[in-house]
Amino acid sequence: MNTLIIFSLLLTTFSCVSPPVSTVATNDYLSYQPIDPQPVSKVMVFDDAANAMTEVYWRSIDDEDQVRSYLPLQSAIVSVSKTDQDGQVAYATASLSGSKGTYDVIMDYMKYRVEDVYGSSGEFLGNGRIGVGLRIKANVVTTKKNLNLGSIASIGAEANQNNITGGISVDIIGIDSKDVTNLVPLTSEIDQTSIQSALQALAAIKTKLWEDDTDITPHLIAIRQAKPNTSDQIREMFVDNTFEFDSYSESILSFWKPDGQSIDSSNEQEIINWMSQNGLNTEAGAITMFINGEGFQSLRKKFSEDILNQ
Amino acid sequence: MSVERILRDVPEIQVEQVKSGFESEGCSVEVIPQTDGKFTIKASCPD
Repeated sequence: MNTLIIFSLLLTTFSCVSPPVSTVATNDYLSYQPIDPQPVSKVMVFDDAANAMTEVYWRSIDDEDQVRSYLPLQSAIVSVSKTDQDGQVAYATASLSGSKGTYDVIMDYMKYRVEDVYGSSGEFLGNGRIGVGLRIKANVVTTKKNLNLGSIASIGAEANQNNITGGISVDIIGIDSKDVTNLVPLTSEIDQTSIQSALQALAAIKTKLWEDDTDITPHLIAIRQAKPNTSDQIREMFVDNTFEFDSYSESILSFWKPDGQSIDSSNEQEIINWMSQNGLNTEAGAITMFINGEGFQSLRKKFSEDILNQ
Repeated sequence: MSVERILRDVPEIQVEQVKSGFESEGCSVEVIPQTDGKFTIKASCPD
């Protein structure tokens, strides 16, 4: 009789405990990891004339159809990560929230190419997804266990039942035109209505991807580690990131900051215009990379000839 | 959303110039020492 009572108690106890939903620390996670977009300046393509692979600046490709052809893959994917009390981020291996907490749910639509990354001794480290896309990011605090965070739509439903609070943001990565700007939804709160309007706007923006007047600027948007702790190495392989400061760097720096401290805004605009005309990225941080990056040596020389030696 | 930029092998004498450049462009900057005495500079820049 006692055994039966104990068994019943155990059954009752365990039936009330939610099954644990495991998480994997970011450094150990060997699956899709969305990242903040990182500019990528070049792509390796096959040069028919030279019968060999060659590096081409993305911005030097005038034909947007050609850019799109270098991004042959498409996917839509949702990833869920949990931030613990110490600020450590871990990826959830299921779409149910195991316990109350703070979660980031990211839904990506991407048009991309995959580029593999190898270490200095030839070992496969993983790969990066280079492309353009649409990203909805929901940062939510759950007030109950076992909520469905597997899709943006289900998050809206949970929000309407007051099971979660938080906000959403929408990112358009590397897809730009006047129409796209007009379509970007201004969203902040999480509820079914705002999520529906965000999804509708993204569907409209997705169609703009194929229009001739839409600028396509591929970025590194996600990585996949083949072994733990390789994400930094994978990311660093995609950028022109070795320091080099030559005499052209010095001249351009003096042009940008004549007194060594303050920016001359009209000169800065001239630098930005020239960079844009010559196929370079002009987002924040691009001028400093242009002045100090090893990969820009020949372009710094051209800038000096075009602008400084006039 | 931010865009990350990384510059490796920066000599100590140039760290301030690079850091100030990124900061002038609105980026937040992290300076990380390398084992060879040079520095890696990571800038998180507004999109």
